[in-house]
Amino acid sequence: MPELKEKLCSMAEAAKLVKDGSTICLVGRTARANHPMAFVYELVRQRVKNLTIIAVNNGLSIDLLCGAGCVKRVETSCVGLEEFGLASNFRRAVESGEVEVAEYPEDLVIPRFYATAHGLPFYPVRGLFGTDILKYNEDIKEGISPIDKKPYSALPPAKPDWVVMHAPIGDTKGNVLFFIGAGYSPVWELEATRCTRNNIITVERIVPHDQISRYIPTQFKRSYLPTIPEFRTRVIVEAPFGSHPTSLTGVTEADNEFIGMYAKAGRARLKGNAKFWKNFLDKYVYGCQTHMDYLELVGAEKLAKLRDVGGDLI
Amino acid sequence: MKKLKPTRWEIMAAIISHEIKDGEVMFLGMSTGGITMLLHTYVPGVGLALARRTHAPNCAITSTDSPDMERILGDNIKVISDANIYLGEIDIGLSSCAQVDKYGNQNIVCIGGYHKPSVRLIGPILQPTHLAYFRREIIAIDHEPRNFVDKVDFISGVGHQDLGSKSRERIGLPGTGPCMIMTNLCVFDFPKETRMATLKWIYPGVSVDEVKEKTGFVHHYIPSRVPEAPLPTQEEIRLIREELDPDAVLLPR
Repeated sequence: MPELKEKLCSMAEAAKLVKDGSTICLVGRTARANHPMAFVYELVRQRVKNLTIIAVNNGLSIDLLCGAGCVKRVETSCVGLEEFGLASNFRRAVESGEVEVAEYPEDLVIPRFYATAHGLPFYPVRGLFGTDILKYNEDIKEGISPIDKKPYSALPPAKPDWVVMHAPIGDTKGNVLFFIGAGYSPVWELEATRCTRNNIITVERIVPHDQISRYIPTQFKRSYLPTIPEFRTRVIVEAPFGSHPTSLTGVTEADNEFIGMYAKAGRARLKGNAKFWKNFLDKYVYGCQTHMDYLELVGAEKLAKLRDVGGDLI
Repeated sequence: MKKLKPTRWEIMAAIISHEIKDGEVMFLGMSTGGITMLLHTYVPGVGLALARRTHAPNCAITSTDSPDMERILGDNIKVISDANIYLGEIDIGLSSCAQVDKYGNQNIVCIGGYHKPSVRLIGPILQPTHLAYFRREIIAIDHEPRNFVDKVDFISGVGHQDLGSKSRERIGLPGTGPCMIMTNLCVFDFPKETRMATLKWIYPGVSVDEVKEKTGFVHHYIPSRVPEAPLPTQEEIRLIREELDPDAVLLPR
């Protein structure tokens, strides 16, 4: 029996998999939950261009990539920064025509992954009639059902070159586990990982393969969801605080102070003052060679405060 | 005992409470903070709690997106998960938008032309699905002229069309669409005959002229005489102030 392949690699090696013009699915929810930010920063450092990004609903990661000139097209339901306002870099890029958007409602992004995972040519839906989404999203086609003879809209299957996700824990062979947090489980996002074997996974902590099984029962009274099996993981990277400044359910909270600073820099650029945004990128992205350099900048005191220890630890 | 005078937020919460029938399920969308959070999360949340404490003990909410509100309202609201949107299990939805027109079409995608818009907004989120499948929708919106337009720049939530009451059925949407636009000044409804936003109630201290001035769409949908909104009863005000939101965290007093 041959040994299973080791999947562990560095962040730089993982990001090199994404070529200019690739389509990537960024897993993460809302403006600032569970985004694979360490990986996104590395994409910016490597100056990847012309990406198409698929996301359920999003904020920080798409805004940052738009702000760094990495994006050509976005397919999602929402890019915003919640109480920090509109996503200024995304705004600027769309208003200038640099980035195009394919609009999908929040609940109709994942069905595109069902279509792919089930080998279907499209996914039929009936909630878009009368909207301008049908007018402007040219990838959604109209049809008549052969069963009930009524119209439907056909969503195109999602065909990402890479699906990128940040998770709490994984092993060296690419098995990955997730917390099921209060009011949150990543079931939607996991559908995305099921449609490809090209999953790039970053995790807070890597454990040896023979130890991951001990996390599967409720070792810490938390529920772990066995999420991604090794055969679907292309590479796995260890990145503690790898979702900073967004949260990671059950592990870290969002760094709202940092996001506020980030939003301010983007807004200044939108209003014509590019200096603050350039300073942000120079300091936190280009100025850091590695994720560890970035964490040094954020600082131990801040990171310690973001640890979520309010759960059910024994 | 001194008669309690309701605040505007309490009047709105009571209107939502009266709109909810027993056993109904409400859905709140994502809120961004500020007045949107108040109009779109706290007012309906308190409204639902009030309904449960008065005439509709079995009504529920699917999620609130606000742990603070859930903590404060506690057992006065009931949160359920797993309602099937597509089979009509949501009775009332709440949504807000940057633009609404006289038919109740809503826009949260862009201002100006679609390509190179003058303002790119957040995107449709779940709004298309709200307006397609929820049995009815309350549009909660800040009353500013720019929010009320003759024609929205992008339809992300479908209202009524100019075909009258059968228009939504004809295009294949199962929900009955917007039933109310609730603002910080007044309430519009969509009468069966026209399905056009018509001023129904104004809050005490608001004049029809003020509403006209702040409503960007054509004024003939505003009758010359408009009644004041029904006020919450003394018991309803007491419930809100003493039991539901005693520290006035949700509804400022």
